[in-house]
Amino acid sequence: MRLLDLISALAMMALIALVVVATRDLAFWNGVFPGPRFLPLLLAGTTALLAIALFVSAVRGTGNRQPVDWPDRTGLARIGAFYLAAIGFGVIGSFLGFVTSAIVFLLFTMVVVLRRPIVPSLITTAVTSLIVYVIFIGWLDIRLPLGPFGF
Amino acid sequence: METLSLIGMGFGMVLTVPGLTAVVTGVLIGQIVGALPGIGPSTGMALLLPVTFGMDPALAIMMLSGILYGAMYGGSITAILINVPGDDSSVVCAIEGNKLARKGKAGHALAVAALSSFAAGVTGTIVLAFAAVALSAVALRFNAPEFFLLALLGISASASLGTGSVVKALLMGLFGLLIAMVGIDPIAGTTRLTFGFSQLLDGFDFLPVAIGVFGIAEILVSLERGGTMQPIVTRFRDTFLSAKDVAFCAMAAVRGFIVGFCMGMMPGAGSTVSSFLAYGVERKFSRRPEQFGHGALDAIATTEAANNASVTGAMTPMLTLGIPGSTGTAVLLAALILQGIRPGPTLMTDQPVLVWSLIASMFVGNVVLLILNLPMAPIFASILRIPYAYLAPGIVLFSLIGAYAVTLSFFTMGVAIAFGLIGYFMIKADLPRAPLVLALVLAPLLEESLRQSLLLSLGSPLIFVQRPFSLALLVVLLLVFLMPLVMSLRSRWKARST
Amino acid sequence: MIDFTNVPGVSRIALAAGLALIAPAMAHAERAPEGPIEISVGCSAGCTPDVLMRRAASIWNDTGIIDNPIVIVNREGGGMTAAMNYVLSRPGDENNLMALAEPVFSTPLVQGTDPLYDDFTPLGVFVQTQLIVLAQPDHEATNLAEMVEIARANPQQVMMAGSSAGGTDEQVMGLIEQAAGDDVQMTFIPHSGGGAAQTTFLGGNTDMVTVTIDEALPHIEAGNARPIAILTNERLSDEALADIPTAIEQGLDVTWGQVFGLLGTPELDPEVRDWWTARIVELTETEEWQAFISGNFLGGEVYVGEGLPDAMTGFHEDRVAVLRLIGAIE
Repeated sequence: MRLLDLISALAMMALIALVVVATRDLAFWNGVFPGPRFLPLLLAGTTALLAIALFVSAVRGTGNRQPVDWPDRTGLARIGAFYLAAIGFGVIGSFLGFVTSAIVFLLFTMVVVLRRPIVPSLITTAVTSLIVYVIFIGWLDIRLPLGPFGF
Repeated sequence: METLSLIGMGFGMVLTVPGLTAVVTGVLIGQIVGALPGIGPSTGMALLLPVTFGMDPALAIMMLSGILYGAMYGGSITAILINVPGDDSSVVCAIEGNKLARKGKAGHALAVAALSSFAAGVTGTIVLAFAAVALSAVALRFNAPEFFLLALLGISASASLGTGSVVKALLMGLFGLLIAMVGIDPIAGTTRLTFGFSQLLDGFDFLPVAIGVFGIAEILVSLERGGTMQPIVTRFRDTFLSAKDVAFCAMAAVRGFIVGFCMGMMPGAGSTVSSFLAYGVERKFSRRPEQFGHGALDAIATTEAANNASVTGAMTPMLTLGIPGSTGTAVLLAALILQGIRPGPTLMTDQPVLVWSLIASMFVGNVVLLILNLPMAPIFASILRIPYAYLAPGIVLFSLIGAYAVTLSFFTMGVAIAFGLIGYFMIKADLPRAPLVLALVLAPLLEESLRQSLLLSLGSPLIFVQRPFSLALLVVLLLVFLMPLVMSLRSRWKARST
Repeated sequence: MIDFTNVPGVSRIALAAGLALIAPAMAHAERAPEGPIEISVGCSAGCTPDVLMRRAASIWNDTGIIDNPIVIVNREGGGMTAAMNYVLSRPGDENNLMALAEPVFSTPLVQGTDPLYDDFTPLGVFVQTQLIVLAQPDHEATNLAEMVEIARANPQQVMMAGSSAGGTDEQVMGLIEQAAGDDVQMTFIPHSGGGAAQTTFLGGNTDMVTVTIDEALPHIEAGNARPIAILTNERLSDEALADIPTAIEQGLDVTWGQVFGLLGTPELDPEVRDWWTARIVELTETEEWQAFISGNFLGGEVYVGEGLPDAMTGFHEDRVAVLRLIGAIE
């Protein structure tokens, strides 16, 4: 937990630095009114105080000392693959349409990532992608990307 | 008396075959679009707009408004069952409701959501019928300075939303506020922190962020152990609330209703802000505040009452002034214009049939929704019997498509995926996620109203004490801030003296 | 100076002018696009361009002027850049159109990027909104000229509520200040939308608000507001509006309004463009459309055909000038 607290505090400090640098061309004060940079700087300052507080408590070890519940290596690989599959859904969807991409995503995650038996996975995939098609595209006419096959 | 006869006339319009068909169609579509993540009531209403062109104006408005409040019922279903908020205002419901579902109490949560939605919907309609004109006059006294203090009050709740360290909760609230600084500056009109991306001009849409940090992140955590989590079985009798549950939630729903209706009347606040504000308020009043964040039944009662009340609240400025209080009522007004009716302060006198049919239809629509939702709760809950490994990919799929549907672009889908990873890290680092989302929702209101106030007063901060409502809110705010301080000092002093 | 929204009260007169403009274009061959037509609107359902396009689409389809089903799709975001990018990324596509509204001109200007309006194939500009300046009903100023004098005596103390920063309402205030002289400084209070701005005004927080005529009328009738100037060239003939003085007759040379229309994809086939020209003219000739325009007090001047690209450039240049005036661009 101490390491994660340190990382969180540092990540927030990095965010603050980004905000401060990226707003440098904006006005902090316009005449008698606060300008576009007013609130970002105010927030950055307050965040810095709290991030320092978190950092100090992590260094001194006064914060939460419960160990982090990390997954084992296979668990990590599993959620990593699952996460990449989610990104892949978007990438494939932009070329082949969301329905095709959904079929690929569902089958891949169920059979390959979660190691489910093939038949129930196929049934679940068929039902889920049918729902996507019927509700989103067929009925509600939401403009989801369509593939070369028209769905 | 006159109002009663007008309502009677309204019911005369609604309780006909075309009237009932319009209401039932509206609430059914609302229920479905509300339940689908990323697709809100305004999408459903826009979809139905062309259908309403040839219809009688009263029927058209009855149907379209059915979508609006029907969606509030629908949103809580997906939120509770699969932890993906169906629409913006059901994020709180996802935070608390899904925790209950995982304890096997999905039926309870759904029933409380349906009942408090119903109670708030009907009460709101009564208030609308009898006090709309008087209330809108009061609501006009609320403006930028009051909005700023309300937003501040809401943000101050973020400190208490975490389950652990206050520093971490505040830090995440500030994280949300900082993210919200991205986009076009609301007052100066210049771009801020967009790094040249036109997709960032409107800032981070809050729904994809919520879908990411709640929906996707939690699924990642549950899949760590191989997705072998046991299906959650809800027994039919578990859906029946005990008298104790109802009594426990009743006051929460009342408070939620008040917050929701008031916020609904203010343009720019809307159902999302009101649901979060009600959540924050309830935490102060709840008899079991320690349950918040772990599945609090009264939290669901209060937020669901709040978002339904805000829909009827938003009808107040619409009917009395012709001003849209939310994107949903903007579509209703557009429908009126397309029907050749000019909305405005004279609408209630010029178009009594239309206005009172609408009000009567809201009574009928809420009853239909209750009939639809309460007995269906166990059936909806049975979706959780599907083994998690088959459910999880589908949930993520719907989350991603929903995030895409928010703006019809891959950008919002990318935001959801990115915040899925951030959310996963936050869970591991024990950083609370509710303050992040709360701050993101309230930030635009906070900044816009602060700077508007100072423009109105030409830079003088005295504007916050010169206006009666603003002064009253300031006192409340000080009490909220000082109370815990005084309490802790007193207990410390007591401890020392004994 | 800015005079493209010169809008006569009755759209019929404008139509005659519009027809004259397109007469040469009619000679070209016309070709109808095949399949459903999608009009991307850059804002959420219920916004002004959305309402206009939905009304136009329903008349086109109901009267049989256009057989292709027309669908309105709301692609909101980024000051209409989401919708613009969507349509601009489909050169030559005959089934995708974009609803023209003010942000098509102003967003790239304010963002400091290259103008986008001239990347589209313009099809027609056929609706304008007409604006009224409202003051508090009990305000000591009974017209815009008096309001300006109060502002001159009390710098920055006269306030106007309006929708987004740099938008039409702020442009109006800038034009009023310019017309009144350098020593007049008023304060503009931006809001997230027109409804919020009206609420601020109705709550008595500002002296003025700028609204379209159809928004203004109910408030005037209910006694919640007093009209102090109409921003058209001449007074309107409608009974309810005939008494409202123009800004020009009060010695303030300000006319302004918003323009709406249709844009095609880049490199659109000229034959399809000419087909649209004819369909837009047919639309504006229907009774339904004219009733809609006059019922909502919109301007119905039609710009199509060969004169359109120049008109578009004119609209753009007017907006460059006014945005520079209010300091939204350098």
